[in-house]
Amino acid sequence: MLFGTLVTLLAVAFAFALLSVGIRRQTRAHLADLLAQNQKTVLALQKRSLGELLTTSRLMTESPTLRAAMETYETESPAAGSRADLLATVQSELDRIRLLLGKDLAVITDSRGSILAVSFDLSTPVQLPRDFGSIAFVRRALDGSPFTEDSSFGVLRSGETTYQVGCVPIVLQDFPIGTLTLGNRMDRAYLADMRKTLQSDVVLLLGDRVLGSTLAALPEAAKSSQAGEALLGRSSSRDWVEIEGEQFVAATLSLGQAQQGDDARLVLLRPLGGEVTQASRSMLLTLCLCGLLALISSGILAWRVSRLVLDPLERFVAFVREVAHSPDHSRRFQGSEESAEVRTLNQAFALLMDSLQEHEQRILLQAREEMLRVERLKESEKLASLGRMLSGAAHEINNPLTGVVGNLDILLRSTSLDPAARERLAKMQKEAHRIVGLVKNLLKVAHRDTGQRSRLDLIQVLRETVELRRHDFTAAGFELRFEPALSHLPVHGNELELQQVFLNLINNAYDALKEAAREPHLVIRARSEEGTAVVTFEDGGPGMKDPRKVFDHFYTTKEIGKGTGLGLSITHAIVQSHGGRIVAENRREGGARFVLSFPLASALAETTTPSPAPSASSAAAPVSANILVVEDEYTILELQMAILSSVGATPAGVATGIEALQHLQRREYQLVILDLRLPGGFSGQELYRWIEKNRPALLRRIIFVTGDSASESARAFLEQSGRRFLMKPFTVEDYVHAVRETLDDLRHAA
Amino acid sequence: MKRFQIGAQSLLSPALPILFGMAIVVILTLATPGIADERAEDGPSKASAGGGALRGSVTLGPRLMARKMRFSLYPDLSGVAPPAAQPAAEIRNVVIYLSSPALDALRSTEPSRTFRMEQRNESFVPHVLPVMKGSTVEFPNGDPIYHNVFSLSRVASFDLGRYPRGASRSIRFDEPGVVKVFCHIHSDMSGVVLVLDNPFFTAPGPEGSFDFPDLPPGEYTVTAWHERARPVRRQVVIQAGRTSSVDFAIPLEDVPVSD
Repeated sequence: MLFGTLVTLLAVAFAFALLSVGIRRQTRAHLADLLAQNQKTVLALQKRSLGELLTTSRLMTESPTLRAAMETYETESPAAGSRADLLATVQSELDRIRLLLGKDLAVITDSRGSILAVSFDLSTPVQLPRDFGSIAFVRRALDGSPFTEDSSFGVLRSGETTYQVGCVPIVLQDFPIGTLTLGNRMDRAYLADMRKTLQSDVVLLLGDRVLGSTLAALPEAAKSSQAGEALLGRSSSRDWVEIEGEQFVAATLSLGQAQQGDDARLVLLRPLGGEVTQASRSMLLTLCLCGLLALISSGILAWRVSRLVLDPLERFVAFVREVAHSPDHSRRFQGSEESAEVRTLNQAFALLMDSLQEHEQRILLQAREEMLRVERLKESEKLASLGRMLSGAAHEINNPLTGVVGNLDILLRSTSLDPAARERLAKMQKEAHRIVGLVKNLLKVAHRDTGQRSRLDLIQVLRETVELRRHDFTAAGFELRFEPALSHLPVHGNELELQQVFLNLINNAYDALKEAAREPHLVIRARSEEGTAVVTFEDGGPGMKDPRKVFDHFYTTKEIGKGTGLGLSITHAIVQSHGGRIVAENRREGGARFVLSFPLASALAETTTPSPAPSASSAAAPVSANILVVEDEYTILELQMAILSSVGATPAGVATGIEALQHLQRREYQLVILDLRLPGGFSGQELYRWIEKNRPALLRRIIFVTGDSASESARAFLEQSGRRFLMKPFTVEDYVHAVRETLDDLRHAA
Repeated sequence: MKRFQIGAQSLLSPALPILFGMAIVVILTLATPGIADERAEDGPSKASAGGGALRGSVTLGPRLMARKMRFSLYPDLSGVAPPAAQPAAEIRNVVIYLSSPALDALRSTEPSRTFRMEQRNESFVPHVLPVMKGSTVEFPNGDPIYHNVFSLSRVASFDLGRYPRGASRSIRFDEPGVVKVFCHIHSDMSGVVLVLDNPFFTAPGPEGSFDFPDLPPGEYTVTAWHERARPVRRQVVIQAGRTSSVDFAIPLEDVPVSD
């Protein structure tokens, strides 16, 4: 930067120096020319004024008195006394003329050149040469040789005084009767006056001698012939002469000859250096000013241009910085009005930011998915532990429940019951079956087990579910209406799952109504529509914030701890597994609306193979077989024994695996009903392995009974074995059916 | 002012034979015009016979023959070419006159005469007027402008004052000498009245010849006069019945500066 400025300055200075030299030279030449011209003009004017002096002089000679006196004087005899008077007349006329013309010297001669009268202004008499008549200009005037102005001028020396004179003849009747010479002293005052008039320094030369000068720079020593030579322009190859190192433009005016015959000259000198210096200085000053002005203006221009370019750039940079610090990366610079560079830059920036944003979005999405995965993992962990707990609980419940249900069945089978007792027992059986269903449900939640599908009445399921919650709604002062459009709506599905779906939706509405509603109500409608069953839930709650997200996992608007956010997502999953659809939307009049649709069962009837109804014949026939029941729960063992006995079989019951082993080794059994979980370190599975090893024929005669349907290992084992199994709590009918079927299979195989 | 009464008539009776002889000469030389003719008639034409004759010629030097310069600040009213173009005319300004003690004796008998010097075209015409002393010269103004004739000469110093065309002033010259006449208004005007002692004077003809036909015998001084030259004198002796001759060259020699 500094270097660049320096170089620029140097270049400018160099250019200026060159320019200055050129200008100086040009100015010098031009000025010399101009001055020479000027001096020529001045000289011409001076010459003319001298000429006018002659004319004036001539005019003065027209005085009749002068002429008469002169002419008469000429003819009068010397003896006559009147000559003196005539001479006095001439003298007085001459004085008059000299004063009139303001001259310093005036001389009149007669026709032969003899001086008749002399007039001068000095106190000391002028000493004129004796042979005045023979001076060139006087002689020429009298001779009447061709009259020229040059020849009429001359220089008179009187002692140290020099006069510049002009001489005219006095003519009478075409004859010269005398001459009149008029002149001025060329003293210091004369030269000063000349200098003032001609505006030049003047040097008076007589021959080579310098008589006078207005030049201060012309000292006595310079009054040499050399200076004179220079002044006379003998070395006039140049336009100027050089005196004492200074340059002058010289012009010479010839003043005529002096009596000695030397030429008298007046040299005008105009100092060239001063003029040139002055001119070039002023020009240089102007040049400098112009240059400075140009520099300044170009600087301003450059600054403006750079601002023009840099300002938008700076704005852009500021914007980029701002964007970099702000989390919002979608902002874009409004650069459409900016210059092309900034626009290009902005386009690149926009591209970069777009890709950045895209990446950001992708990363965000991945992070969200990752989070979701982690959440799901957590959920599954939670569910697994819940499942473990539930399956444990279910197992514990199932065993007594199996006893209750089985015994109730047996009781109800007996015909000896009075109707009132039978009714009560039936109620108990129904409630017991509800418990069975609830436990199953718990296990389902734990395992996401898709339970068995069956043809069922959706209206029935809905009604039952509504009844479950009606009490709560009434207590809270909410209105709960169920408005089915028709009495039956057959679908193929799992009742418990569907119940869960409906329950979830009702609970959801309940919570929503609790939050805010003027008229808290929930209306459930069901109708058939083009082969589908359509159920709508409409509540008067605040509605959903984002209906599209309600089925996402963990989406909840409830306070933390109030809801898991799983309810609706499970609902969605169940509906989909039933081949149905669920849509959530906000009602225009407020509140949320869920619309569910399921395929009607009639349309699916063909696909479902009707479970083979137990044949009445086989059911009626007694089961005559030795059956070993291995069951650690005594109640259930006893129940099984009772059931088997009731159908004619011969059961033997053991509580442990070891006992079962002993029984098997001792006796032949047609059927082994084996509880998977056995105490005493010898489980049902181990027993099965043993049978597999030692009594392979017996393998096909095994029916498993388990209360541990939730256990993965148990499930895997059961599937692998391919054996029939009964889930606790089982009904008598199921139990008998399983026994008969196994035996039938064996019989068919045999 | 002095008056010089010079009468020509008084000269007639003693000079009859001379005048007679002069008349013959006049007849012989018919070509003599101008003043010479006039003078021949007015002059000694009635002179008695028995005298001698003088004949001669005058030549003017180059300085006089050609007027070398003429510059006038005033325009030439006549519009004619300047006289410098007619150098021959200058001969007319030459006067030849005789002088001798004998002739001086005739002086008193000569009757007074009147001459004219007119101002015409800002010039005195004639430029040179020889008169015998005692003659009266009239200066009539023939120009349409005023003139003022004056003289500073010792023999007749006068100033006639300004007068217009048609007016005339006269003056009588009693003393011989040269009277330079000027005009106070026009500086270039000049004339000469040559006042002579006797009537024996003449002007040369255009060729410069002059002739005195009838002169009483005796010794004379012949003077050729020109205003710009020193008078040239010759001594001649006139014998009865004989014709003498004298030639003049004016100036004969370069005129020395008279101090």
